[in-house]
Amino acid sequence: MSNNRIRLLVVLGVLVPGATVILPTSDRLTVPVARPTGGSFEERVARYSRLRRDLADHLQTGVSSAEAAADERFRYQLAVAIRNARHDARPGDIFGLDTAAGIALAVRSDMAARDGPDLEDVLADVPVSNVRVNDFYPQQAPLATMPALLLMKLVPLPAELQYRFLDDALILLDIETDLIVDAIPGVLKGS
Amino acid sequence: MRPRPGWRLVPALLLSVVALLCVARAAALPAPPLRFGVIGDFGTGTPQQYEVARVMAGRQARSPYDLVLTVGDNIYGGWTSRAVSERFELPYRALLAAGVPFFASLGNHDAVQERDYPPFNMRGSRYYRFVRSDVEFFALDSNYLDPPQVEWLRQALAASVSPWKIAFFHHPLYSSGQRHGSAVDLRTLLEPLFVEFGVQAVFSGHDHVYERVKPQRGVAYFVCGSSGQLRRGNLDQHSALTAAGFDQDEAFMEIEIDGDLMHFEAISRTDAVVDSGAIHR
Repeated sequence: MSNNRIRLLVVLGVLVPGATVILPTSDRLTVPVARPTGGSFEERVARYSRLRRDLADHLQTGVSSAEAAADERFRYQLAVAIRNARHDARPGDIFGLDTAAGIALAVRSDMAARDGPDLEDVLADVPVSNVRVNDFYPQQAPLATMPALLLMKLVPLPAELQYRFLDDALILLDIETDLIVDAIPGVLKGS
Repeated sequence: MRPRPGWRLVPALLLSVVALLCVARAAALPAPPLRFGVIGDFGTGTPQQYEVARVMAGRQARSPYDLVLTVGDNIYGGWTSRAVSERFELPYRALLAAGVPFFASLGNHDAVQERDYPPFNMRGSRYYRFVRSDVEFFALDSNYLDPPQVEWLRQALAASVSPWKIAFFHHPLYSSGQRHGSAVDLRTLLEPLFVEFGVQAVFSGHDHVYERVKPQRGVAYFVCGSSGQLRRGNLDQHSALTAAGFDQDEAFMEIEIDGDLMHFEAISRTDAVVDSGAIHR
C-alpha cells in the first residue's frame, strides 16, 4: 500500500469518528432503553428501577422526591417518560422465561389449594380487560386483592412495583405511574 | 447581719419540689377518654351515604369525636376530583369543618394515590401507625399484604407501649357476610401477631353489613362495611361467628375508650343503636 493511501486511511479513520462528536446531537432526552440482556429477574427489576429513578431525577426540579411522588402531574410525566424509554417493551422483558414459568406454577398451585368459595372470591375481584405491556392500568378497574399467602411465595419487589392479577394474567404494576411494566398471560386460565 | 451562705438555695429547692410533685401528679392522672367513629365501604355518593354522614355529624356535635377511622372503599368509581368531592368532602363536610381528622385505610376499590390525599392522613404510606391518648392504631393495606408489611407490623406491635392496640384494614379476618366472608389468608398471617402482642380490637369492612364477631383468641373483631354500601340480608343467619349483626340498613360505629374500658355502639342510618357493648382490657 502506498504511503498516500495509508495517510488517506488514517485521516478517514480520524474524521469519521470525529464527525459523530462534532455533529449536533438531538435535543430529546436520550436514555438507555431498558431491554433485558440477561441476568436474573431481580437484576432486570433493578434495571427497571434504575431507569425509573434516572427519569424521575431528570423530571424533578427543586422539589423533594416525596412532594414529587404526591404530585399527579409529575406521576403522569414520569409515566410518559417511562413509556417512551420502553417503547418496544414486550411481555417477558422483565419476568423472563424461567421466572414466568416459576410464577405461573406458584399461582396455579396456590389456586388449586383453595376451596371453592375462597377461590371464587379471589377470582371475582379480578377485572376483565386487555393487558398491554407498557400501557396504563385501566382507570376504572379496581385493583384485585392479591392473596397474601401467594405473595409470601413470590420474589419481593421494590416499593414502586406490585404483582397484580388483570384478566387472566399476572402483571407487574408500577403503582405510582399506573403502568403495566410486564405481564405473564394465562396464569389464571383454568382456575 | 450578713445572710447565711446558701440562702438562695431554699427557694430554688422549694420550686424543684413543687415541680416534681406536679410532674408526678400528671403522670398518675389517667389519659383522657378517646372518642372516635368508624366507617367502611362508604364512598358511594348515594343519598344513603349522605344520611349516615348527617347522623354522624349530629352525634359528633353533641359529643365530639377525636377522629374517624375508615376501613376502606373510601371512594368508589375511580380517583377523580369530582368523586372525592361528591363521595367524601361533601358528605363529611360538617365533621371536616369541626376539625375532626380522618385516618384512612385502603380498600380494593381505592386508588393507591389516596395515601397522598392529606385529609386521609396516610402521609404517603399504604400502612402506618399513630397514637392518640393511650391508644395506638395500626392501619394496614390488606389488598396487598406483602412480607415487608407483615414484618413492619410485627416490629411496630413489639415496640408499642400503648395500653390499647387497635388495628384497622379492609378485609375482615372473620366475617359472616356471604358475599366475601372471612379472609383466611390474612388470618393466617395476622391473627398470630394480634394474639401475641395483645391487640384488643380489629375493625374491617369489605362485606357490606355490620357484624360484631364473637371474640376470637381474645381479640374482638368488627365488620363495619355498610356506611354507604349495603347488602341487605347478606349475613349468614346460621353463622357460629356472630355475636350481633345488622344488615337491614346502612350503619357506622362509635367507640369511646376510657381507661380500661372500650364502649362501642353500632348506629344505623336512621340514628337507631343496633348494637352496643363494652370490652374490658
